[in-house]
Amino acid sequence: MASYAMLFITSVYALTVVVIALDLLEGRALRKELDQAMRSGGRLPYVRIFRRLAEAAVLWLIVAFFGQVLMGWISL
Amino acid sequence: MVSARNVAVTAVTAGLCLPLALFAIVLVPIPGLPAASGFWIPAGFYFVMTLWFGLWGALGGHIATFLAMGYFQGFTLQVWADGAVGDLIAPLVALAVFKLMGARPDLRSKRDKLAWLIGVPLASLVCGLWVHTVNLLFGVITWPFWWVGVLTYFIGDSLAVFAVGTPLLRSLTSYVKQSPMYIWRD
Repeated sequence: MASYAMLFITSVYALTVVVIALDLLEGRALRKELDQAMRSGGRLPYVRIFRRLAEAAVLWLIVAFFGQVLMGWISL
Repeated sequence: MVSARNVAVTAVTAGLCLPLALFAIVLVPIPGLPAASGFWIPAGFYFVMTLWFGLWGALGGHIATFLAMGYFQGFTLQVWADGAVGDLIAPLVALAVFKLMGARPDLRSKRDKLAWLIGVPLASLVCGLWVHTVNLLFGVITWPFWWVGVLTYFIGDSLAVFAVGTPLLRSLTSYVKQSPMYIWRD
């Protein structure tokens, strides 16, 4: 039986992954508009790139969390 | 000349890599080797940032590693500095391979892919040799463990950079190209 803490954290991570997936889908749906806006310069290209990098970082942190649970570094 | 954008790239790289350097390490056991290999996830990020933005990305990885190593109690300044300098050198080696081969970080052409396949293991090997040789000279590790350390570093870093960096380069480089900070011009 999984602990309450494990279920709680897993739920938060699952929702985080869903939010990131929805963000990616939104990016695809608005691709033309975003590309056009990015060509006009400004901060948008940086914001978009760094947001994607941050999302990838969060996903890898989640992978590392479960990896460390399996390794025994984190016990719940 | 240092611009605000250079500082921003370094700060963003360091900010992204710091939580990963603190927490995102997974040890992967390798059959036949008496030590697990550290799957060093932040390496994928600072390699990518260095291939896009040059030295400023590498500097961000260096700062993140230096700060993260300091978190662990009992590490001496030498160990922090050693690992952090190694993480400054590694992405710059990969960048040099791309420059020498005339490759681009979007990994579209065969030359780009070859540069990535050669550059990443070479950079990880150079970094592993640096880190473990310095550790050996300072007496942190013993000679019999040197080759194990170098080999696990080489395998673990290479795997992490390939797994993390490849999708980032393939999916985001086309957007990064629109930035004036992008160091490659066709």
